[in-house]
Parts: sequence; structure tokens; C-alpha cells
Amino acid sequence: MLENYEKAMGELHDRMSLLSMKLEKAMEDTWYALENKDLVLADKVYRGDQAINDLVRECMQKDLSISMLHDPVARDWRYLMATMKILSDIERIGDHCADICHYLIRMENLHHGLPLLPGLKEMYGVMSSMVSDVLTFYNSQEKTDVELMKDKDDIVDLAFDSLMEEISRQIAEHPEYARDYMSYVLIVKYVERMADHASNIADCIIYRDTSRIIV
Amino acid sequence: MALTTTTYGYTKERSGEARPVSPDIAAVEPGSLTFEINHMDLFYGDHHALKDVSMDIRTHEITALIGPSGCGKSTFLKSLNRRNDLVENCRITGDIRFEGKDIFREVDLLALRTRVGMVFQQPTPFPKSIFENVAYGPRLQGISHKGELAGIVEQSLRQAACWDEMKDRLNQSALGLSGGQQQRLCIARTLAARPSVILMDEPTSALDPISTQKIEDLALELKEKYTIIIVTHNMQQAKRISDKTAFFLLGELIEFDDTVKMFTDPSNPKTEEYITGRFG
Repeated sequence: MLENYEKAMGELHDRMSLLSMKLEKAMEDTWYALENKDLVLADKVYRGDQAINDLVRECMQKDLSISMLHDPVARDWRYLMATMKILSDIERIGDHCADICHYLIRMENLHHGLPLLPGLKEMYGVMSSMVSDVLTFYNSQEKTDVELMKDKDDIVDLAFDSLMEEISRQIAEHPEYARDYMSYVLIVKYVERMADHASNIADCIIYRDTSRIIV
Repeated sequence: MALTTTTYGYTKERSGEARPVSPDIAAVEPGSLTFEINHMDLFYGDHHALKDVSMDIRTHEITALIGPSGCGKSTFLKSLNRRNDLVENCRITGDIRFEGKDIFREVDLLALRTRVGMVFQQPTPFPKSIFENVAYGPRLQGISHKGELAGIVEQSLRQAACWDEMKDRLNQSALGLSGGQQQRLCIARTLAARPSVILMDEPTSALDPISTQKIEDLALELKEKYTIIIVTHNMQQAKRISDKTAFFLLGELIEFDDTVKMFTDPSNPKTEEYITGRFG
């Protein structure tokens, strides 16, 4: 019985590692597509979201079946509860990659050739490192660096405010590009939300490690 | 609190050493201490079966005792109403207080067992009618008035959630009941003696899941009026019904805490290993 339990836990862990890799790849491709206006890659990311969703569903089913069949407690219980919540956040981050690519395609189809928003690269970079950090913390059973996550989330929030200001200015100066900038508003918002999901994952890892619930 | 060292065993019991009698154990408020156990050790001859156990058990809570076979949890349970007194070469040191009084020095044994009832692993109905099983304790307490006895029997059977099933067969033999019904009858028999504490030693281990569910529901209802201490090998049962859980291992109390804490974030790695099934 215990052997089956350990095996099932191991399988879940392996699938979560694979899911993390897929998510990091989607995020990397999303940025490459955005920076290089690579619509083929953007379309690939957009369509590839289904594979992430499928893997999320598979992991949720494994998590639920372990909870139901093996009645886990203590650290195992916290791991499974945290994983279930983390899966929702991972799924949302994957969705946001697809959303960004969707609006990139829509923007580029207007053929206005707008340059990349100044500061977006830095914002995306910080957010991306947050997601990467929390996935590493999750998969390696390391403790989350809470302060580092908070600092990075603050940087992303400041960048969001600053980019919103910049977009407002650009719309006022170039109203003919308002539709492009509306897409940028959404893209910047998605990046900001992805950082929030990374923070949520960090909170779940803290629960897994300490049983402390952070809201 | 000053510790006392006492030796209570077969020999002393038979030799008739007198103990102070205090039959009027006062009722206590919910949340107050029902049992205070301090530095309790128990020996069976040379075998040190319980080692320096200290624990407070609060009124109107369900306390689950868990641990692998032979860890001392049933021995501990039985000590609380002095069922080890007649075990040859059994020696207890330390302090066990029931509602503030030393159970060996300040509480009469009959009064203690009246206030601290016990339900065993196997249902133990007497080969008598259902009515007589429940009326047995009150009769021993000197109640002979038929109406009063009938009232106690009905109230006890209702409290044990078996009145509706048994009211039309009170004069039939208790031995004809199913295992689950027999166990609830035994709980009713315990309640009829008007205890304040019910000790349960694996009360559902011989029962099917539906009967187990009934006993668990009953325990949750009874804790409104009684303090319950239950020995169980069933981790899910401990999680489902208890407020506090105590984990014993090799005669030691390894951890005692709120059940939610014990099953989500135990402090001791040995507890975690046991409850996750990694040993024991």
C-alpha cells in the first residue's frame, strides 16, 4: 500500500516537473514572439496552451485520486493541497501566455508596426524570474524566499503603473494607434497578473512547508 | 503540583488497604480539566509500559489515543478508571487527577467507575434483556423504583441513538442484537450509570462501516454532555471525531495536540512517520 502511495506521489511530482518545464518554455516563447513580432511562434504558443491545460487536468486528477485513495496527512496532505491550488495558478499563467500572443497577433494584423513599449522587457523579465523561482522552489522542495518574491512583485506593480502612464501618453499623442495601445494595456495587465499568480504559488509553497496560510 | 508516588496492584487491593472515600465528585464546567496526568509511569513487573506521561484532558472534548499495537494507549486508558488495579504486578507512579482529585487517594473506586464509564472493543452485553442490560447499573446504585428505572432506560437508549430500534423489544435478549446495536446498547448501559467521562477502547474495530458511522455520530453528539477518550487504530476516525489527539510510541507520549494540528502539521517527525504510514 505504502509502495503504491509513494509511487503515485512520485508520478505526480514528475508530471508537475514536466508541467513546470512546459510553462517556462511557453513564457520564454511568448517573450520571444512579442519582442520579435514572431507571429508564427505566437500562434504556436496560443495553440500550445491546450497541452498545458491537459497536463494541468492530469495532475489535478492524480492529486485528487491520491487524496481519495490514500488519505494523506501532515506534509503529504499539505503538498497535495498546495499542489491543487498551484495548478490553478499555473493554468492561469499559461492562459495569459496565450492571451498575450492573441493580442500580439491582433495588434500586428493592424500593420502599424508599433515599437515595443519601453520598460515592458524589464517588467516581463522580473515577472518571468518570479515564475521561474517559484517553480524551482516547488519542484526542488526548497524554501521560498518570501522577501525576494515580495520585492519582485512590488517592482512589477510599479512597472505596471509606469507603463499605464506611458500608454495613456501615447494614446493622447497618437490617437490613430489607440487600438494597438488597447492591446498593450491588456498585455501589460496580463504580465502583472502573471506576477500575482507567481506570488500565489509562493504562498502555497509556504503553506506546504510551514502549514501557515497566507491570504 | 506535588507529585505522589503510589503503588496499586493486586496484592494491595486484596490486602484491603483503605482509601479515602469521596463519592460526591462535583460536576465541572466545559473547558475545565477533567483529567490531569502528571509524570505518570506504569510498570508491569519489570516492564516499563508507560513512561513519564503528562497530559491534561478537558471537559466535553473527544481525545483520541493513537499509536502502534503495544505502545501503551489502552494501558493508559484503563488507568484512568483504575482498571489496572487488579492486574498482578502492575505499579503506577506519578499523579492522575480526576476533576482535581487524586484517583488513588481522594476518590472512591466505585464513585470513579461510576463517573468514568468504559466501552470495550467487543460489545459486551449481559445475557439479559435489553431493559435489564441498561437498568443494571442504576439497580446497583440502589434505584429500584420501576418508573424511575424505565425513565433511565429510555433516556439512556435515546442518548445512545437506539431507542427507536429497541423500544418495542426491551424484554428480548440483548444477545439477539446485531454487533453495532450491541455496541450502542453497551454505550447506553454506560450512560445509565450517569458518568461524566466515557472511555472507549477501539469501540468500532469489530463493526461494519455503517455501524461505525453510527457510533462516530453518537460520540460527536455525546461530547456535548460527556468527555470522551477513545483508543483507535483508525487514523481517519481520529481525524473525524476527535478534538485532541495523543500519539503514543513504546510507552512514551510522543505528541499531544489539537487533532487538526496533529494531522496537518505534527511537531514530532515520529508522529509524521506514523500517521503517514511510513512506520508502525
